[in-house]
Amino acid sequence: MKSTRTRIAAMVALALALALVPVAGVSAQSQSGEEGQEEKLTFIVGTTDDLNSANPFGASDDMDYEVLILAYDLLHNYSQSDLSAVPGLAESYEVSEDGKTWTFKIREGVKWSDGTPLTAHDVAFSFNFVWKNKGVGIFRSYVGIPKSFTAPDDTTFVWEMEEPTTAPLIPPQVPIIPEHIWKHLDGKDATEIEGFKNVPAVGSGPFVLEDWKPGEFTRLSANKEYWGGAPVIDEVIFRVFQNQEAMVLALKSGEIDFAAGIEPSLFDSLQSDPTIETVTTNVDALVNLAFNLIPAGEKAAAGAYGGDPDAVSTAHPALQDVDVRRAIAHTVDKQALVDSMLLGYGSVGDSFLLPVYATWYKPAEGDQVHEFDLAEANRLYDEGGYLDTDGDGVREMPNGGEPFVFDLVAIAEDTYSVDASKLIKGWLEQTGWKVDLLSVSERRALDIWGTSEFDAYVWGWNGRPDPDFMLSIFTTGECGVWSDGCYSDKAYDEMYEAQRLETDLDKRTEIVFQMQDKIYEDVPEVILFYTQDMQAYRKDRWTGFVPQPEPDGSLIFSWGPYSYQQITPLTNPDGTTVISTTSAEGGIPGIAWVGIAAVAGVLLFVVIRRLRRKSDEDQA
Amino acid sequence: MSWRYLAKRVLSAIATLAFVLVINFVMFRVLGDPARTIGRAQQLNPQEVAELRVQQGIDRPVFPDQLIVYTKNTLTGDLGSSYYSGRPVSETIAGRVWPTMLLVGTATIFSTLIGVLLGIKGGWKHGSLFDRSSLLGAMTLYSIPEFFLGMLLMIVFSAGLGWFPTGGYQSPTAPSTGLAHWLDVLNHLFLPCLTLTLAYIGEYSLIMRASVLDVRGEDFVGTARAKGIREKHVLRRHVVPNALLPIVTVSVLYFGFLLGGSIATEYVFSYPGLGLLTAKALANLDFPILQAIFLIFSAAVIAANLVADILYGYIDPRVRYA
Repeated sequence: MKSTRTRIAAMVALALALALVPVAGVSAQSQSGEEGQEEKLTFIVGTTDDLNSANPFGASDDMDYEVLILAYDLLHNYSQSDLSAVPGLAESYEVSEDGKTWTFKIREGVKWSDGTPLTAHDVAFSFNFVWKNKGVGIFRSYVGIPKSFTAPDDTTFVWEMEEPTTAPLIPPQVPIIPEHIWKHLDGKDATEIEGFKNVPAVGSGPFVLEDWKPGEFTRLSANKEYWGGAPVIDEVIFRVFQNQEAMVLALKSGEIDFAAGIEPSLFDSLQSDPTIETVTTNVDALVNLAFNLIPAGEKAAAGAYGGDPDAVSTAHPALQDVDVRRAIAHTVDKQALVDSMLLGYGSVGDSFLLPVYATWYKPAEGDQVHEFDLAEANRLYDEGGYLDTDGDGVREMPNGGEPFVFDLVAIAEDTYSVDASKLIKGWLEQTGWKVDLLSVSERRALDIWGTSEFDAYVWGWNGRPDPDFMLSIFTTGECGVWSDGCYSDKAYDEMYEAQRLETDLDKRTEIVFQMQDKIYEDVPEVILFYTQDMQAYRKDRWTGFVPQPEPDGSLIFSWGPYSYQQITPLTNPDGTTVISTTSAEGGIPGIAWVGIAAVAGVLLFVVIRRLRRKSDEDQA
Repeated sequence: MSWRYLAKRVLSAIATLAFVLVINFVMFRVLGDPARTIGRAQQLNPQEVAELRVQQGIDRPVFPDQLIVYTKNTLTGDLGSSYYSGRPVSETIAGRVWPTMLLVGTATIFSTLIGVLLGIKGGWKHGSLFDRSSLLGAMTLYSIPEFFLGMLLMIVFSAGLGWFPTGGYQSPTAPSTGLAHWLDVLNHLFLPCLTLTLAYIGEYSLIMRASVLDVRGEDFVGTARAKGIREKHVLRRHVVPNALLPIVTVSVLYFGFLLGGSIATEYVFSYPGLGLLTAKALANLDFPILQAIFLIFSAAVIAANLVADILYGYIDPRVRYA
């Protein structure tokens, strides 16, 4: 019995040693073998976001949209310079007099990645799919209120609307999907549509989605027959990192070529690296402080989404006074937020439409600007009769009514929200408010907004090139849907409808400017700051990145595939590219494996010898 | 071992699993109604959210309707699909099981072996230089947080020396089959496995050391010595077999927790295991995924317990008829 046990141990040790030796040998071999292989030009992007779904209808985050824009074509593309509509699959279009019927000429000779020809029927199918399938509402906001989408022949696509529209020029971000692949899902319920795996995906974009390993990477290969010009690179890989530190280390060590969404402190650490180019880009994200404007005791916002039908608002009555909201705006030191939270990588906010979309953005002027001025805030409160009559340091409503107690909600998952809320609490308390800060999960926040049991919250928005969606948030009809503070103003609602139906760009811009003025005056929320995206890439390897929009938009993770199409590798003097397939991923050299195996082998040998000797003694 | 002993153990395991199934269901219903969260993600209007509720069956009373549907579906292997991505739960989880088993499995084996050896030697030579230094080492490793250890190793071996990749299960540019693939997987496994092994060694060696110390003082050890048996043989034949009992319990139970992965290590090395999936599903309140994961975790722990019970019956006669 005893000797059997030692013999088994010896055998296991020997087997382990034997297993390690060939590993070392082959490892050295495979490295030299790789150099002989045909080199693929691979561009590797590091990201902390994984793809949520390879299926367009399961898209939710930046990563999903990035793959969409690479793998699928749009009817119209967003231009690289200013995000205006430029020809996509539609080469040209005509609009009827009344602005209701749009007729597009679809490109000829375009093929799906499986070789099937792409026709106007696919385009009509895609728009109908998005419009008619319930439960996959994700792209529907782009199609407005249509009457029909039809394809009278292979190269003509007709979009008819119930009312005049400029929707096709937004441009609609509806991925054009192949009818022969998606037909069987048309009319099915959301679970089935979203459950469709779609890997590898059949698309017509400049890249083809080949592979997705959840939690690991997404791989796209170049469509060398792309109608808009073949990309220089052969493939793009998005590699998922769970933490920023590892992503930045990987960029430094050369495992990846590009990193996006880098935190300020880590971004600073890259500045001194001679092989890395750092870029700060203006993006479409803002952080705001929004007030609950439903008068206390009135019906809460959320009836629409279910929840408690009897809930009533608990908003502080003072918030109904626009001067109080203005005073609060004066209480927030936006520059301090930008400096301390973003380390300067961002800008002070004013409009809810983002400055990166320059066409629509109207900066605050004169009285619309609320400088950080606690004295002015105090003056406004005093003037409104909100005094601290009982001397406890907290103001009360006029005539000694309800004290100035403020329920501020922060979203625990969002660092910006949590950090900004803490600072805002401090400032508010210097002007006679008592602030109860509630840090809650996103999920819980939706409940709180539904029952309108808060005074204000800090959170953010990601915008879109077209302002319609952001403008809609302040309309009365959105209360309880997208509008959590439930701002409601008849004049604003009318302007919203007017800009929606206005087909003349200049006239629409004018209305959009007026709407921003209206919001500046009524202060339903305070726009705290606009964030930036910090991106960095290996400048010793790649060149040719283009920002979208000009001059300081994002290089990638924007609204088009431009950088991916245009980047080229730097070349050595002898004409070879500086990127080698082996340097792309850090790996232990073959010789190290030999070393490890040798050490392990020697150790195991000694152990086995000792065990043998012992078992001999045992038997003796 | 008696059949009665075995049957008793198996029955109690099944009863525990049924209990877990119900608890699992109740636990997530308490967290509330996910429809509005999904509605936002999918940009649905209120009417569509209502339809979604009907479709997902969350418009019906939690008890008993939803519980009955849930139990039926789970028993027939239908785990539903993710609220968040729409992908089937079984598919989402299946992809994560192997990397986790590989990482935590190898780390558990290595750390048990090394930890046990250290513990035996330390306990037997109680108070020696080896004992004192290994005890100090074990305490240090036991108290260093995993993520810190992992980050240190990454900075030295990935960023500094460039020997190992900064994370992942495999390289996206490496071949996906054959020996080259497995070498690539090994390369990626090395640092996270080393991190976990170091982190676990402390615990195993401390338990083993204490256990050896315990047994060392027992009468039968004294008897063995009195019979003139050589010290080495006393250790190997009389002390170690008895001292191993607690380690068997601990390591078998650890194999039960193995599927839970190690969130910290998987996070540092971006290792696509179940731990990370759990963390993400929690953040998204993705009930179907959470339910399935917790069910699997519980089942694994219950199964490991069963195995430990049965093993105990074999190696320790005292337990068998208890």
